[in-house]
Amino acid sequence: MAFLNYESRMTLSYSEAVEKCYFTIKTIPADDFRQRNISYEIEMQPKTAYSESVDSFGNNQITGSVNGPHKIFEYIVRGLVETNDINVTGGVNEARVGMYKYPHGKCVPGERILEFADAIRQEISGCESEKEKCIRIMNRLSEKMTYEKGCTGIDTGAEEAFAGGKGVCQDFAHIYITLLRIFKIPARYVCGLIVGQGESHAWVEAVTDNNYVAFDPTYNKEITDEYIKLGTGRDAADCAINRGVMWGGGAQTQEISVRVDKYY
Amino acid sequence: MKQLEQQLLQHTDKINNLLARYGVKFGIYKNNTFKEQLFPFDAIPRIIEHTEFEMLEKGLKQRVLALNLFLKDIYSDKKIVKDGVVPEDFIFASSGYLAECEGVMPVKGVYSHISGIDLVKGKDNEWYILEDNLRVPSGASYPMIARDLCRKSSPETFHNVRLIDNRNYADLLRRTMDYVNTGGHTVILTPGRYNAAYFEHSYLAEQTGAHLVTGSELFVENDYLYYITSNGAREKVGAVYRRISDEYLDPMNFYPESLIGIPHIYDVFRKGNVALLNAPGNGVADDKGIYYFVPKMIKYYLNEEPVLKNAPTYLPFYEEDMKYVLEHFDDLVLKDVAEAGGYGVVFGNTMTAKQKEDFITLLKAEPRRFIAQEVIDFQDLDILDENEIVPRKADLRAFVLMADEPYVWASGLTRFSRNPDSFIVNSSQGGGFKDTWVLSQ
Repeated sequence: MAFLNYESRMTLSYSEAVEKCYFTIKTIPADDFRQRNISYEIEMQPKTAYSESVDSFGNNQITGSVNGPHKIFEYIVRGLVETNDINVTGGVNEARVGMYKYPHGKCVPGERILEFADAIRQEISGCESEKEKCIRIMNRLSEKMTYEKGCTGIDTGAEEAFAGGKGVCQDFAHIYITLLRIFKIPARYVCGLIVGQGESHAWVEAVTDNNYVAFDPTYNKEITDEYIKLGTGRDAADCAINRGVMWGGGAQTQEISVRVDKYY
Repeated sequence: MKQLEQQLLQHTDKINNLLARYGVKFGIYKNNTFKEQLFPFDAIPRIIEHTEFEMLEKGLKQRVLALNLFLKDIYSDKKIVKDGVVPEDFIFASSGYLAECEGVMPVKGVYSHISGIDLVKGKDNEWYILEDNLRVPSGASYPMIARDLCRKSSPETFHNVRLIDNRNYADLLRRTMDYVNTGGHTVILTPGRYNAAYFEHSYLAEQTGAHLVTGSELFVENDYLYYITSNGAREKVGAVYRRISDEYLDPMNFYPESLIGIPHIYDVFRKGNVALLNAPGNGVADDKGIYYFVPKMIKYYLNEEPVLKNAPTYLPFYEEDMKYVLEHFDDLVLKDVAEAGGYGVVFGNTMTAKQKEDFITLLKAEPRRFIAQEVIDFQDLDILDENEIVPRKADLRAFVLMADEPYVWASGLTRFSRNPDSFIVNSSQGGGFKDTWVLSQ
């Protein structure tokens, strides 16, 4: 069991004033079997009214707009989450799990992924449990992919990233999800934070024995009590931390910083 | 009746000229350019006897009730899937299913406020349902204005005919919008004048007294939707009859590049603070694949026998149906479930051997993507073509409006093919239209 203190900050700066913007922020952890949201606060600049709701994937969301010229849009979320290291994150909602079974968005297999799935099919069908299948697929995938920044972008799909053999956590997660679904294991994308400093992280929840179990294909391991889940979805787009529409603004620079400290 | 037809025929040119002047046009994109073409009107009405209409009315109400219950079920518990009536493939792998709509209940539980149900009458005198349109079905305005213009140019024709007045559509639509209005203005949201059905949007706004707006005149603030009036004031909106598709409705929830949508409008809807007609996500119920299951839905939700028949349909998804389709390939019409507007439709007997082989390979690789149907030999209707009366294939789009209960408009859009060899009547494929007369007792 651990207590994780986090701060996540995003700053958008514009060369010219933005007249108006709308935002949706999904960065408030929801409670599940292994994490409990104890407290959080949000700071926004410019100060503006917002409202909270829950989207169709079960993610907390903050929606609102900034009405009036601004050259900086920033939010900071600080909070405290309690986690445990039992790797069962939640039960399966039978009516909705179907959405995690089929190719969607960035998780659509192409020739290369299908070829790879065929190559490991025999080994995977030999596994005794669903969980073992998940682990074996993750092991095989990690032999194929190298972690490297700058080779892929936010819009890169699973097939393209897999063909390139390199990518970041988002790519690892998309490819892994695509593979799990080929092997009839429902799988969803997780956006979250891990202990340390830097950026947000991404991993995967797969259904085994009617529960969600979480795997981190980037590090080729199951998750621990050092992970905070912020959102889930069919792919990265469903749980993007920040989504916006704006008018004006000129050139834009984005700064993201995340810090998570662990207390026992 | 023949005499009435003669009277109307004399006015054909006059009415078509008036329709052109009123801007009754259909815009289509061909080779990336936008072209507006007139939607040719044929003055000989389709006539439906009163008792026949009563049967249609019963069947259509039943069908739309079941489809609404299906949508409510799909975006919540999915009992029909759990009970094994509809395989989950036909839900989750359908392009019309929107996961973003899970658990969101539209105002008063109505999903399909305005349904356009396409039917044909076979040579066996039976009516068959061809498809359901539950997203943004268009077409009601054409028979509305045509009837109005016919009455004006040939008033004597209407004196002694026991015809139900169809000019109540605006009142029905208004009642349908008011029923779900959460408090505030009623607006009709159009993508703009380059849309294929722009005439209809403006006509329905004028007839119902709703404001015709584009996305840039609406905005969301603090969980409510507002309309900016011509003098700059902001007024709350309670109901939006939106004539733009789900994908483009809200860049914050659906297609992010949409310029015609309203950011966060779906979040307002999610909170129950505005009604959207029709509700987003309806595509999961009017997909050609799900069509097969509608008679089963009627039994499942209403515990009734379907009054109106589907065209005999096979799902290659099921092994025995695949076998049938391969054995009777030349007798069937094959449809791609993801396509609409008369596209993606092929007749088995028109393919070359090579085309057939390629198609069968594709069919075997993606069986869920196609349905196969018996070709219904449907009745011809007379049309006037270059001063000659000739028979042509025609269908009927019936409109069912859903408020506290379904109401079937006693008229409809009859579309016909101008090509004597074609069964495809879609206006996007160059067809024309007729008024539809429902006789009173």
